[in-house]
Amino acid sequence: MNKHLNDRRLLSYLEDDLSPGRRERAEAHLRACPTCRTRLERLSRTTAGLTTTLHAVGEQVPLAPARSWGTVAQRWKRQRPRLSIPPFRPLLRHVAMLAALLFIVAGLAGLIHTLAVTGPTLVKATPTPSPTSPASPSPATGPLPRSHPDHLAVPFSLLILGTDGESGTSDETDALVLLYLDAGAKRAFLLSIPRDLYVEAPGHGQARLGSVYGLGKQDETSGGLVLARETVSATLGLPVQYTALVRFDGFVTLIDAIGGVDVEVTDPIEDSTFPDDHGGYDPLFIPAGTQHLDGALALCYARTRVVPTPGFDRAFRQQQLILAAHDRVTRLDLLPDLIAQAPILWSAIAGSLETDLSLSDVIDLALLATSLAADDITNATLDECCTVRHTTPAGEHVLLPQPDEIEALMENLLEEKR
Amino acid sequence: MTQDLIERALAGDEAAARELHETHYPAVLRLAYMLLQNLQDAEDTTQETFVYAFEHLARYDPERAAFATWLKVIVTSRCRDRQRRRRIRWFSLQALTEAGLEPEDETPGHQPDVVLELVGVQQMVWEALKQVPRKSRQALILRYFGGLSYPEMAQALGCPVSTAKSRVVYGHQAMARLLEHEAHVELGYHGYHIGDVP
Repeated sequence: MNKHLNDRRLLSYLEDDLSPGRRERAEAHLRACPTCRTRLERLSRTTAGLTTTLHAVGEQVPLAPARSWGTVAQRWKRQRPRLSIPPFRPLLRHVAMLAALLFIVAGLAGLIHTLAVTGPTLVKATPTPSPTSPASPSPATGPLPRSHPDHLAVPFSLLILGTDGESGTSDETDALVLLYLDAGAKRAFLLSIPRDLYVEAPGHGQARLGSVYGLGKQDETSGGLVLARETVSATLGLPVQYTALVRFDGFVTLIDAIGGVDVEVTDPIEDSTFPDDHGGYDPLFIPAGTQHLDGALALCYARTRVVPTPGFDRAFRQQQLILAAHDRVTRLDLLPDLIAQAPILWSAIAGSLETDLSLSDVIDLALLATSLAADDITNATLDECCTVRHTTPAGEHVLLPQPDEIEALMENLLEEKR
Repeated sequence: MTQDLIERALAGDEAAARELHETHYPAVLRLAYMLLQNLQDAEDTTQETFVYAFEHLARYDPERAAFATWLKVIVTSRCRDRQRRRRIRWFSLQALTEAGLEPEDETPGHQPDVVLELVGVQQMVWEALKQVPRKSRQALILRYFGGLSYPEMAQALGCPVSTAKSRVVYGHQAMARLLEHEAHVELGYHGYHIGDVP
């Protein structure tokens, strides 16, 4: 008898994947060899067993097509625009910390806008410190509202860095957004930049963008803000004039300053593994309905990773908080208090805010912001369209910038609405 | 029909994209679940697969493969990426723990999160399959659940066609050993009757 058929040959025979000659020889051998017949039978049974078992398992996998489509559609839409970038929409992916700065801008914008309508006398009253805070030490205060923001009138860019560390504990920036504003042309964009972008930090070699602020901070000659600004500027090929770093605790201070916010919690939030400050858990529960959140709870609301229902995720909740804060501030009954408090607020968050903008710059910025309609602001993300995934020799997962693609994106953004 | 939907989706028609998702979602999710054995990961990978597919729809060539097959190739390679990341993360977590630091990562565990109701031989086959070495296991799943041809498997697994087939053969050999062992130990009789299951 010729030698036994090997497993591979048996499988090919079973799958009818042999040339006619080989098939004939295999059949001849099988007729003569009970061992190989048994092996073939076993192979056939295992094949049948695997097929039925796998399909039985498949049938039991719970399907949630609607939820899946919700996420897919949202992400697809976000990535689809390449050549025509859609106008600013409420569903931005901004991280909670950014809410703080955007809130200052939006809030003050609301204040000033209202003042402009109600008359100039109130504006004159603004710089007067509240009687409850004599000689408030406000490190960043400058003269309060000028009627014309002269030095900001040219197009300018502001890099906003967000970090979840409390003051002094973390220098890793989790969120980076570039705000570009050209009031003359009535044009602005917000560009989210991934922290894993692998960039050339001037004087520091290749690094993840999220770590650049920390690198610069250790270097006395540059400082964190400057290095971050220069790095982003070089990567995008766009001059960046201002930088602001916002920490979580600044967010809490701001929300508390306006007496908390009211949000509509569509589904109860239950997070048994919400982290406390000591590496343990601090279970979080927020019932459904309209809830009044103070600063600390608002921060939890923005940070928890649970998603009770599709779409009710972190990005959505953060956006909800920004809008809730904006809504509260712009309500008329809160304005007089806030006007009096503006310099105090500014100094209160000074510890959680590091910036080369002065209070007057922020107010000017707010004035510019109100001169734009929502449609004038485009939103974009420097995502897979301009980057390639890569693992560094040290094992870091990073995104390599694609200079040509970035150049095209920037051109596109700057051309938009011209 | 499918081609018509693809062309409409390519032009940005959301309803067409939704219909494509609707049709192919079950097969993609199930395959991802088999490969990853974790529902959360499988759902994430399925979403990634569709986002990728819709973004790269222009690259799909109906001459080369059915749309369903194209999706299966994508989801397999995404699952492999995820497993690779998971291994790296596991190694780095291990290093952290060894260094006396508690990992703060909130990644879900990898224990199965679907309660399967399997009877008799199916239970045995499923348990055995889970013990087959990863690459061979993937090959068996793609072949007998995904219904992929060897060239398609080669593309999904990033290996030569002959290697894809070898992995199926090794998978069968491992299954035979495991089931024989199982039959001896658990049931105390020789041989098993997988083919008998409905």
